[in-house]
Amino acid sequence: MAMDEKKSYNPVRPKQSPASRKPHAVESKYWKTFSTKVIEQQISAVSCTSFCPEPPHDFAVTSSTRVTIYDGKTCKVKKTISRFSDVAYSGVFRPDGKLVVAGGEMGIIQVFDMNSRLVLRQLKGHSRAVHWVQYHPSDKLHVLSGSDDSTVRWWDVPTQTEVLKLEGHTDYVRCGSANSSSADIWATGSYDHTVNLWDLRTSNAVLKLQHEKPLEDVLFFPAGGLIATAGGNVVNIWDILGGGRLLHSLSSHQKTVTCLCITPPMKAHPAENVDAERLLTGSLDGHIRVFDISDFKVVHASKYDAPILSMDLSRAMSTMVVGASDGKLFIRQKKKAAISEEDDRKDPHSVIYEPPKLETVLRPSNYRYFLRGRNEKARRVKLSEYDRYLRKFQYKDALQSSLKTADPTIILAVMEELIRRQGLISAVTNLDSSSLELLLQFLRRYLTLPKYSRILVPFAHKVIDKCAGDFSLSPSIVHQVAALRDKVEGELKLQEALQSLQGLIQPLLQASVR
Amino acid sequence: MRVRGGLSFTSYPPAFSADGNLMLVCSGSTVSVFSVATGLLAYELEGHSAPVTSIHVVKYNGVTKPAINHAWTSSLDATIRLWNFTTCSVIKTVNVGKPIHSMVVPNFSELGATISQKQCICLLLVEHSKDDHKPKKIKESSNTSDGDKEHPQSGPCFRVVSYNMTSGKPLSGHLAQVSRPALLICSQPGHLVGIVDNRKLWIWRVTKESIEHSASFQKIMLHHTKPLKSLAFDPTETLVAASDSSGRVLIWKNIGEHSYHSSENIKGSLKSKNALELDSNRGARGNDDAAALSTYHWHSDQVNFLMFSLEGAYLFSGGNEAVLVMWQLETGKKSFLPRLGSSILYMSRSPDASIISVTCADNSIKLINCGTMTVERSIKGIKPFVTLPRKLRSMDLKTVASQPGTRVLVLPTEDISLQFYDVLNDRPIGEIEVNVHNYISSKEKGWKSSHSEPFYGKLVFISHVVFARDGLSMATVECSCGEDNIARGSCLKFWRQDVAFSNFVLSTEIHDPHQSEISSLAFHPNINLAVSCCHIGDFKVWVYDKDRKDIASHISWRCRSVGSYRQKSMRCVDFSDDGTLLAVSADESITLWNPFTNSLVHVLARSMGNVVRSLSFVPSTNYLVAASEGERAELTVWNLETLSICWSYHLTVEALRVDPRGPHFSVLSMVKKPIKKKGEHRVAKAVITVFDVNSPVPQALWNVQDAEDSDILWLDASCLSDEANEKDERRDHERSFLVFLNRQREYIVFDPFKGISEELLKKSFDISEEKGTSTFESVYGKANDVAYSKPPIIATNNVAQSDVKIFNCPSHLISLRSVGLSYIESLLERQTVLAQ
Repeated sequence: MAMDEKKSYNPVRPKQSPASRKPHAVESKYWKTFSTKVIEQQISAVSCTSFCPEPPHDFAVTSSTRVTIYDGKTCKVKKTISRFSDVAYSGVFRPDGKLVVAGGEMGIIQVFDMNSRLVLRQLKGHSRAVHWVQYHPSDKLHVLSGSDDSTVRWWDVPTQTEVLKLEGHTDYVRCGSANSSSADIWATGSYDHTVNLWDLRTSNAVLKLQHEKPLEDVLFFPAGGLIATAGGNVVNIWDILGGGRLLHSLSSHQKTVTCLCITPPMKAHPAENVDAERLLTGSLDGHIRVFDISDFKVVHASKYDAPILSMDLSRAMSTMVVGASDGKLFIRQKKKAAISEEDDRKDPHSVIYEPPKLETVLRPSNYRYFLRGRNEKARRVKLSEYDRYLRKFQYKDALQSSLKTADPTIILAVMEELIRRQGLISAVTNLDSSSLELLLQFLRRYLTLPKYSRILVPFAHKVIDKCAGDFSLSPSIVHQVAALRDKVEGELKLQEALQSLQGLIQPLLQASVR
Repeated sequence: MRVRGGLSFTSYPPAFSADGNLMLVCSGSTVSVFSVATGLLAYELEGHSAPVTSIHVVKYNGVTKPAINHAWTSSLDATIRLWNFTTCSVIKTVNVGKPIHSMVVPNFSELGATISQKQCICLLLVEHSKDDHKPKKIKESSNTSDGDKEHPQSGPCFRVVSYNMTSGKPLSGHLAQVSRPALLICSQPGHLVGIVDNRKLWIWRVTKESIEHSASFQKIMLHHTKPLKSLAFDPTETLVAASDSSGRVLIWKNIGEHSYHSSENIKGSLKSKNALELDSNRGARGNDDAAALSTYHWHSDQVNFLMFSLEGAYLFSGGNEAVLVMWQLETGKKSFLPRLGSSILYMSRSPDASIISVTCADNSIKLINCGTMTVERSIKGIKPFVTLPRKLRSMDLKTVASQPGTRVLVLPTEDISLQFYDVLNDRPIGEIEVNVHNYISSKEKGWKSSHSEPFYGKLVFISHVVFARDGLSMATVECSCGEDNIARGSCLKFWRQDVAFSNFVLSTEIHDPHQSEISSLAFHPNINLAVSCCHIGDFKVWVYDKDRKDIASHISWRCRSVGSYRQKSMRCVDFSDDGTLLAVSADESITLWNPFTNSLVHVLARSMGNVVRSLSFVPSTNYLVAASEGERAELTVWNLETLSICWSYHLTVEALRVDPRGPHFSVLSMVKKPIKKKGEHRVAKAVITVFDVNSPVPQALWNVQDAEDSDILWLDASCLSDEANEKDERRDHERSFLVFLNRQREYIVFDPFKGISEELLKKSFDISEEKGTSTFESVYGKANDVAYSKPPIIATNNVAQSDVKIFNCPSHLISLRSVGLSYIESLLERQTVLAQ
């Protein structure tokens, strides 16, 4: 209730419409910010993709007989390790990112130096192919491997010796996961439909989980209390602390789920108040689904045109790599990857509650105190071009300059301002051909959007009435008009289809009420 | 207790006092004196019985008498009064006998020593009926319609006459006759007087002899091709500026050289100076007595007022663009003061050369420093009425609201803001801009032709203001007419009170909530829930979403559900007092819904009924009042226990408002349709009726004249009487007061349960006994009979009510203790009444 006089021109404000309330839409919007940057063709199926936990989050891609290291920022090939005599599997980084370990069809586990690509150590002992190998998450000295000879082995890397041989599986061991909360607990999944939890201190399986399908991937949740197991088209969530109780069974995939991935706690929307992890599942049906782990509901799904074998997300949530069975490697990166990585390091609250910068108060002790205000200019609000035209009552120019912004919220706001001034009709009469083309382009694009159509449909009628004589000016305008007509026809068909659908649904709804 | 207020400051130009410290403003029948330094009301001069039309502050030349502040005022009550406005006393009253529309006092003191200082002549613009001898006949002819044909020009005409105020006698003859009232303008030294009459200007020079005869005023006329709007004289009395309806400013130079040739007053130096630059009669029209005419054009719309600065170097002009333009006459340079908010009506000079006052149409007077071209202070009054298009009148409009728990009226303004107006202190508290926009003068050419029905109001306006009962939430609806039906629709906005700053903050903005304009809006009494409906045929339930408050600060209300009933047009909604029922009108029937489950509870149908226009639940009873419109307009009271009609009247209801406390409701109903007559002020007679819902006998009636576009409101008595009336009885705090607000935005607050009808017959309201019979009177008998007018009856009424309250629940639920207590209380109350 301010009593003061308002003196300055009020600039046109973009016409904001509220965001959709569905949380799914917010999620989808978030996941869609990962735009496909590169699609690399590998030699054959991409069996493993893995990010380095350390920035700049390089990633290793295992395909055929080589492990390729990509740069985490530019997504270009950095190095290629091809010292394999047979197919390589499971090329992963040591947590500090200096070494890479990989299994292989030969049953030999090799440790490479990242810089020189030299083979530093070879761990021999498995009699058959090693499909899964992983470094200990906290110490840099041990790896655990699972092999097709149905054993799981615990290796000391510097001495190249086998410390433990864990027997308990009866079929190929193809996957495993380290518990990040307690370093001695590991889970491995096997084609014998069981997941074994190993305590390396006792070298015994402390828990067996029956998945009832051959296991393709297992994953501990960051808190360590839950484990997700993927086998067949089912993903099961187990409560480990509760003695291996099955919590959820997610069967939203059509085909075998091949890979699991969990994000760090995140917010899909900056205003969302709860951080929650998301579980990503990739499947041979070519879908990646995102689950909210608070209620295990699908919040987003995306489709790839090939069966998915592997995927991984960078720790900073800026890059996502998906490997497919036909050798395609999809590298998707957020557009503002660099910025968001920096944001990640900061506490999100610190951005909002940044203390205001204290302006240094000039005091008479300072020389500048006596010069103050000499070079000051009256601070002017910078007006946009359309605002400047509106101030001068040049309605046609205002409309044209707003059309050049190509932002529908601005164009609509300028149009509403013109309507309030009774100047919209005069603004569209006698347009030159280039701006008429812009206008038609804009109409074609936004005419059928429900939130704009109330203004735009009668406006389009008026435009066509007023400008019908100018349509023959240039072939591109003719083209635009034809495109507009096609769009309207398409929309009419859609409306008809929707109406008949509504007719079908309405009796059902009314019956359900009673 | 009775409060009046809300007058217009802007009907007539204000005047500064001789020392420039005070400003005298015509506000209705009083003169309000404001302090220039603070912009606050100092005191009021009361005495006239009709609107004051002009103020002339007496200047004593040569002699400095700062202590004496004298001013002449003229009024439509046909009197001229001389005031001492420091002591607020009337020195002299002169009865002229005809309504005075304008008055100037020319200056004779320099003309010769023959006139004594006290001899005072004024020029008046008086309303003069053609056949002055037979005033009775005029009245008859205006009453009957065929009288119009016999006297096609029987409307009033206006004459400029001179009047000797000292002797109280008119000078013989009249100076001119003009067709419509305009302002008489006097030059600064006081020797020239002029008036605008359609396409010509009348200008008179005052001579020595004109004290005796009207004929001895030296007259010249200047002509133009377009209707003129205003004129101004420069201080040297050689230039005349006039403005026309197209926005041109015309300046005639060396006026009256021929006519006034004999007059020795024109100084030789001035003449030679002007003669250098001018050929004779260049640009002036025909035989007009002026040396030259030059034109300045900047305004795109008509210029309402022109004024020269004190020393004559600058000319100020202002019009509908709300821009004050300062012309430097020698060079033609302009400087502007834009965005004054509303069209400029008048200006006046202060003796302090740097200050001028600008009167704007939004009932504000702005004091402007013309050195810096800034607004230094502004005096604001109640905002004027906003005209709405006819086609929206059928909706259940709620343009005026009272803020719950306060004595504040909330009024829409022309620039799409809400004004919060303190009723008791009669001053504005603040404003909220509902729609941030730039002021654009609305009279553009394409607008009239594109619509079948011409409408000269604003294109975007506020149609609804509704408060939640706790006063924390407010909802507003803006309607937009659009351009050629593009962007027609409404915008619903929800506001939340910021308790810390006690203002309202926009929480949600919903563009086009319905397919058409929102016809009505209501808040749930207890929870954050609102319902809006649209005449296309659906209503929407809006809920406040607490969880999403932090997601985006703008979005916190959302549509929870949509309902409709057989595609019938829905015009009005209301919630019951406890919030369990929602009533929505659907054409001629009323649908009752459960607002929580969205289920239809019952339909109250009238087989012969008309479209229901407004409805309301009566608090703390089981009744619902509905008013319909059309041929057989009805006021119906439904009993919701039996779902049947209790009683009804055939009555055209303009406004229906329910007392938020008790079983009473008030109705503003038109007795006669407004009759439009050529050149005559249209008068719509109406009746305010207060009913108790339990009985069809009206509790009180008031006749109101000129009630079109008026509104009635209930205000809580407790917030009104907290400081002003301690002597009022305690009983008053449990009662509501009624506010009547008319089109001119004058209001009166009164207790509807007291016999005050005779007190109301006063001044501008014309709440008077009606002559003749009407259908209304045949229903009720003679109007103005206050059914319950004496306090004892009300007292017994109270007792009866409390008895009802005791036994209002089933017998097995009555606890003996509560019955005993309340029974004793009722007895106690009766005793206090008796004691008084």
